Amino acid sequence: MGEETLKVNQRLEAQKRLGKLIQGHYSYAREVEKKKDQLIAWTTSGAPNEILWTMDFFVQFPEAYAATCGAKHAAHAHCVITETHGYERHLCTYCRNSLGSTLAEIEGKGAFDPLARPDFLLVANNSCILITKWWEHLSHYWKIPMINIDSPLIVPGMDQKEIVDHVKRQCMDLINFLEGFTGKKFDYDRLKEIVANGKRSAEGYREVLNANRHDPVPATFFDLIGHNFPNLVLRFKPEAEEHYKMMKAELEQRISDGIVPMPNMKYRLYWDGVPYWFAIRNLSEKLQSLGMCLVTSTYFEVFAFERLDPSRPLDSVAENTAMFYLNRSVNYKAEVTEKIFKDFHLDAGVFAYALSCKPFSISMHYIADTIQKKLSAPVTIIEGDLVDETFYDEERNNMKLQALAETLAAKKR
Amino acid sequence: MIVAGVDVGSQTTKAVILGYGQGFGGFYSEAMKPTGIDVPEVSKMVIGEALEKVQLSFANVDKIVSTGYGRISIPFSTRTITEITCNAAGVHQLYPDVTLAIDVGGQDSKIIKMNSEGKVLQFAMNDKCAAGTGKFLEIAAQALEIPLDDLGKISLRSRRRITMSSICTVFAQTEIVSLIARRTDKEDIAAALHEAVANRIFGLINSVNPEAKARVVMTGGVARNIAVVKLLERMLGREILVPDNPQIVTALGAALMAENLD
Repeated sequence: MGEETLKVNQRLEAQKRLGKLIQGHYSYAREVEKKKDQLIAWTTSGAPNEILWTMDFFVQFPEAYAATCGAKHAAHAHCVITETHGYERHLCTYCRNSLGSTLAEIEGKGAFDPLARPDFLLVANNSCILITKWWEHLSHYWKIPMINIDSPLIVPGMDQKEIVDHVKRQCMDLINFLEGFTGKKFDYDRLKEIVANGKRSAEGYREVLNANRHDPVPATFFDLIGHNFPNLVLRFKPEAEEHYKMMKAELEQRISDGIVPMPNMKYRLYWDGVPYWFAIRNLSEKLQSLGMCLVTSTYFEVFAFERLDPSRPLDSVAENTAMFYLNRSVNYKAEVTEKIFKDFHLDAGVFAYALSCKPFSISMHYIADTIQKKLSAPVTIIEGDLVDETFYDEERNNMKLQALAETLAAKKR
Repeated sequence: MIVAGVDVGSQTTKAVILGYGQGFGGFYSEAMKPTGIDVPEVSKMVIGEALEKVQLSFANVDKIVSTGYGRISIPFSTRTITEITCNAAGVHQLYPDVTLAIDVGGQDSKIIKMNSEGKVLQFAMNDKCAAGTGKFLEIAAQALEIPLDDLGKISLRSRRRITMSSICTVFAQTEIVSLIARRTDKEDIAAALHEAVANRIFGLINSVNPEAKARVVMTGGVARNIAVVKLLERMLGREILVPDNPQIVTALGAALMAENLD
């Protein structure tokens, strides 16, 4: 379709539906907290959360909460509370946000839109080396039990089956613990149903992401990032799959109608790393002004959960945990990134270094280097820190993005 | 046509005027001033000074490209272009066979990998930290009570290798004070500081995967520091070219870009 026939429409209908899903989730959390008719668990994105849903926990994600606080410019206040309690500034800003909001709630100072108070904490160390300690402090402050699922890093030479079995054994220990904690029997049929919902949701999520292989894209990376939420938080319910089905149809319709999310799309870009949640609008406007469209990211892989399989429910939950994207080797991540560059026809990469997120950032230089060497695609590494705005130097990052656009323009000439 | 390039760095603002055609013949003029806090004003003054040298005024200038960290604060510029692209253009004009530029100024270190036409293929910049930049050397020179221009030369007289435990600009200052208190030779301290700076820059160079035989040029204020240049030459295993006025190259590139604006 020629440039002149394209129509720009930035707003996806799916955003409205997503807003309702998110609002519904948090309103329900308030009710649960008030009525106390359901136990509340806080968990990490890579944990075997199907087990919590099967045990009828209402499940909340402090990492997702940190992202929301970042986007609403509320995280800094939480981070300051954490620091005034003696925690150092170099700790992960998601952790500082979480501990700060917890301390504010416990001390009666009130946090920004706080999560419903937890009864139980589940953590898996497959996403980050610090996260178990972060959860340990949450457990200390809330005075509630926590269980850690140990998931060793998947590196070449390791026996993957042994790692999956190791995680499965811990899933069974978790089930035993929760049966005692809740006084309920674990329902394996319910697990199967939840895993089936999760599988359909994950498939829908992937189809939505793949819509951006089209040139021009029907949506930008910024339009898609919020849609991690259903696959992360609601995949145990049919609503998640339903959301992706409708969203896929909308994206396909946009493609056939020639509707694009921004004018003047000259270059297709890759994003590496966690978004700087507080800077999304600025970054989006800056990139748009330079004709650069962020198309996709391996960040989406964190929320893919594609190992779920109802024909072997518990095994697949264990596998989903063990094979969590962030738990994979740097070589694997570089290979996935290279494939994404090819599949999505990307011109360049923006690597978003996060000062306090070492597990994410440590691989960044290697991956950027691989992309440069293998694909001769220019890349730039910008700097920020997840949800802490104080480290962000907008002008410096803008300069790097402008230089990237100039490099791409020179390449095209 | 008369064009101007103005490069507003954190420490110094530089301007280059180029004129050609329509009875002007070809001419070149340059000027530099400390940046200070009033970026539009100092830019105007620097361009004005460069114009004065060739008996011209602002009214004669057809196009102005601004670059450097203050580039967006100049209301009279025709276009802003980053110092990455401008530096590459300037370097290519002076050294057409160079494909790797190291530009180290007061606040930033930049590495630019180019093709044989001077087009940028890849670039890298230091992180948000003054270590590895001119500011680090300036603060160190103050702490050692050595004029900045002499710091590099003095470090070459070092006879004992010591290592700085911190390359944070703030903590390095404290460390210098304690090393002086322990009667460590200034030459040895200066050498350690230069090694820290060169290591930082060398790491950045590697991040753009330079070609093994790429000809290398160094620009920016730090290129005036003989010790940094020599250390980098040793690390890279090849000669580094330094122009007569390494600080003006990005402004020259900006002027060349102005000449070629659509």
